[in-house]
Amino acid sequence: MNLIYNLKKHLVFCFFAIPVLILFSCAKDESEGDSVFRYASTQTTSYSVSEEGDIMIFRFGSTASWTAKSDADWITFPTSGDGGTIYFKMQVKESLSDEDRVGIVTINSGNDYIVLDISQKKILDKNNIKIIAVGQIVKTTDGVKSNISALWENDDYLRAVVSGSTASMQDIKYLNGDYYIAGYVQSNSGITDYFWKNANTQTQISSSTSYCNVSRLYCNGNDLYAVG
Amino acid sequence: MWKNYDAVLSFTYNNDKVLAYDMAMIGDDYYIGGAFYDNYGNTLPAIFKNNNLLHKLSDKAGQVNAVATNGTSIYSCGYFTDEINGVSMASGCVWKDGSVLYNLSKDGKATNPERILMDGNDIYVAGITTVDSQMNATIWKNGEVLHTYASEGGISRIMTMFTYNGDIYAGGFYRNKAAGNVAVIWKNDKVLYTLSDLDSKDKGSSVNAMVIKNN
Repeated sequence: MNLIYNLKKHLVFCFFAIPVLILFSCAKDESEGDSVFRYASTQTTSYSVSEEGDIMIFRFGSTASWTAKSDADWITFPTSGDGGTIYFKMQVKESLSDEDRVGIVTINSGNDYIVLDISQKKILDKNNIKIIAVGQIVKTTDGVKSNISALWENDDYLRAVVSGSTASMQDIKYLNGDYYIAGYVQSNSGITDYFWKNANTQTQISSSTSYCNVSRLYCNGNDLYAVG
Repeated sequence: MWKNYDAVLSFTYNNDKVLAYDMAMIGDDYYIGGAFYDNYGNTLPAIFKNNNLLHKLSDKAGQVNAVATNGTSIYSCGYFTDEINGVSMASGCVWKDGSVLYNLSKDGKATNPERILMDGNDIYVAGITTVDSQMNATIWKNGEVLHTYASEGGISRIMTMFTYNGDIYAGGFYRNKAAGNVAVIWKNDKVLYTLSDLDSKDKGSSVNAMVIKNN
């Protein structure tokens, strides 16, 4: 939990997102400088938003009135406000662009500023999407049945994620252009949990003696979480 | 719980293990849905905030299967065991911040919602409705049945779902008398893809999770 504690200690702003996107920011310590902004930041922080858009609520404190502006018309937000604790609501529209795009929101008060750097993936072609699915199929080899991990693209079976083992893929998520699969492999020594990046690179996340089954993945900003 | 391949949170409750089935985050707080064991060995449905019990959702045996957030509230779904028409069965619920929002067994059918998602102001839940030993995959929207996927083999189950472009996609399996469990993806109320070879001697397959991307 040291990592979590340190995150709490140094997090400057609390971000809330609807439905699930939570953003993090890095910034100077509260004791640094005489900024108008409580926990003022002069750093630019980058965030990723899905092509479907999102609503984010960015909380900060200010001892004076402030203004906000952006070069991106696909991000809506309040353009000014008074001091106090501010719940700064940004709505990122669904992408209509065939290119990935980046927008910058700057919040100013006097010489102090906060910069939010928001990137969004290009539009999904709604008539040309594919579904990547994972699960398992049963195969009988030499009279013995076993679960084989399965990876499908639309209705095509592509391959097993793990070949030659009894395995089950439990969840799949997209994060920053890559997809991550969580699941487990069963062997004589027990069950071992893994991540697979793009159904290839395998990383073990538990030992076969930990009696832990990973069940679900969760993306938060640029971080990938799993629970089990 | 793992973050970027590293285990970052592990905890027990009541000197016994906690069953963790799903999670969501608000700010830097983790909300973990699952169950803990009471003194009689029953699993009780619960939400944990970080490593502390936040909501015990029932005194009766059950569990939380899935968790979602709109950024301010925690929504969860699962079941507790209840007497329905004099019979002990699973009573499905959607909870909002620890209180019952929707009772999915209000018509006397046993239900077990296993997945939840938020789409704007709408809450979709997917799970099972059991009637006369038939277990039918069901999607509820804001507490009301939206789609039911019956099968000739008497069992169907949704393991994953997402909404896109006004449609709802669900993945799981249905029971076929000849082929056993057949992996399937439904779009709204119809089968979109059947992923198993119905003539195979190997019986049993399922979709557990899915995502979409551009071709």
